[in-house]
Amino acid sequence: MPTPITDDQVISLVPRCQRGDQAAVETLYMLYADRIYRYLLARVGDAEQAADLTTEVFVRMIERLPGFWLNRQRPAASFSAWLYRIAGNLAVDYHRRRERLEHVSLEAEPTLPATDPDPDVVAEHHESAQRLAQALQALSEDQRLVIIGKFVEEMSNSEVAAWLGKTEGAVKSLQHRALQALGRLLRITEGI
Amino acid sequence: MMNVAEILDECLARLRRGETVGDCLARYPDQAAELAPMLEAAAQLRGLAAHRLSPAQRLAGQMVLRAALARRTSRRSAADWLFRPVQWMGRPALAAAVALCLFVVLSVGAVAASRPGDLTYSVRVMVERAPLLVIFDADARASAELYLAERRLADVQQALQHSRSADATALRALIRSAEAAAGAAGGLAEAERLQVAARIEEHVTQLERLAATVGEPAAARSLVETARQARAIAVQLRAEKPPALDPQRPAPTETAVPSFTPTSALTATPQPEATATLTPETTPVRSHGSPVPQPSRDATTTRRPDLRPRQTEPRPPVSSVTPLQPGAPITPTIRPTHMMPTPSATRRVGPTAVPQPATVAPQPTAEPPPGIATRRPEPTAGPPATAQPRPTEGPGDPGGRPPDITPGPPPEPRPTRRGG
Repeated sequence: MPTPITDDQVISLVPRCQRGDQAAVETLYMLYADRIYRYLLARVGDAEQAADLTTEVFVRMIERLPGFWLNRQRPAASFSAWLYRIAGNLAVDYHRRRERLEHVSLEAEPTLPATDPDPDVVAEHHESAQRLAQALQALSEDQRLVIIGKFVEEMSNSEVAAWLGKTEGAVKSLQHRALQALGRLLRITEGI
Repeated sequence: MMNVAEILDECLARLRRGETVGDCLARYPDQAAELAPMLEAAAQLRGLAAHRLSPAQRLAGQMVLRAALARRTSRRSAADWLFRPVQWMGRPALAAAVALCLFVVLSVGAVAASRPGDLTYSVRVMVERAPLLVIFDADARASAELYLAERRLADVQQALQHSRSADATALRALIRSAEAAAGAAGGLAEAERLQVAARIEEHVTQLERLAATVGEPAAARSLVETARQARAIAVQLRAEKPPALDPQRPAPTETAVPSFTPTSALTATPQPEATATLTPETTPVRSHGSPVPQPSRDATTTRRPDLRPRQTEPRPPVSSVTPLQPGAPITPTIRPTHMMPTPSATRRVGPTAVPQPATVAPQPTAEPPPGIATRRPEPTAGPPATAQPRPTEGPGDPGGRPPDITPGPPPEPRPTRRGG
């Protein structure tokens, strides 16, 4: 489970980043890069695309940080939500671009990192990631964030609730509905 | 008995502790069909938790970020000049400025949309009069005032329709505009003046019609009273005579033509004037109602009456003195005998009032020493002095004292002159 990012870290780093402090930017990148990468991996189902989009998220963060207004009541949550919103927009743009490119070849299929040298296993991973990404596309952003926070980032209900600014009850409800929809969609895409 | 949501939470916790999806489904066979897709989806998502950027991807990302940061820094230095005032003001000041603008816009909108009876209606009436401050032409001003009066009449009608009451503010403003229109029309030609009066009378007619149709007695009384005032204004305007002269135009030139006829106003005879300080001096004194100068004794020579003919602009004639035509060669009867340039007049007009010869020549009783008084004044026409001025203390004091520089004029007797 990744180490939670504290409010103090965000309060310290964000103003420095807004002033153009390179060290602060790189520290923020180290804190958030893997999280954003996993989110984007879940959204696009391709490791290389997710890595590129992760970099793009932080480039946009640098460009837009001067206009960002940090919420002093919940600094970490507000900054995290802002960063995930940038990532979500980039994922949407990615899917739109991909839909326009109808002649996607088999070689250009999204891929997960090939940790297993077995081609069959790699292909299975590819298909599984693709189906998951397509299923996640059908969820609402709140549902996506809840289940990614819960299962990818391994947060507790209270942490997800604090992150998204919701109650724990709302988080449980979102999680339940998201899993129901996701399970149904995955069954459909798997042809079960 | 646990519901599906609780069972799902239980299974998710077990999955987190390392159990498999099969183990969980085996624990809840009745809910297995419902739980299976959800737990499989959760397990699939959980598989992503282990993924991280590779060191190469991380390094590449950092390089891109440094380049982006450098671009932003260079752009920002240029943009800072543009947005520095906003940054300097800060967000609260910016918010206050925006709020102020919003307030002004909303206030202007509220004033413009106000109706009789509203709090802002009087402000609207006042604001609508503002353009009149820059209208100076009488005709245009009268038209503008009549336009405003018609607007107020429309407001009165609107108030009657909505509240069955005659709005006092609108009625007052109507009368004020009618008065101002009549005032502006007062300086216009008769035809234009009558047109303004006719439009005011139209307002009277409308007011009376409203008074007749409105049910409320108080409103009817207000309308009738306003109609009466407006009618009085129109009647007064019709009765006004056209102005003889436009007060803004210059006066006719013929009134300023000076007379050529010399009068006795300036027929004072020249008086002897001594340059010596110790010589008694008779200066012409012209009293009101008696144009004949009277010789008087005055030892001071600081100021002399300027009797030279003035070649200045013509002035309107006054009752006692008729100005000379500019450039007319009229010589006044008063001619200074010395210390004045002789007027370059070619024509001389004799005095109409000839001074009587002096019966008693003013003679100082004490002659000044020859070294002091270089010149004795010789009056060309002696005033009819009835008394001889006598210095109270002569310069040639037997006591040998030097003469007083500024002997005071003798109080009595003063030489008088009766001229015809």
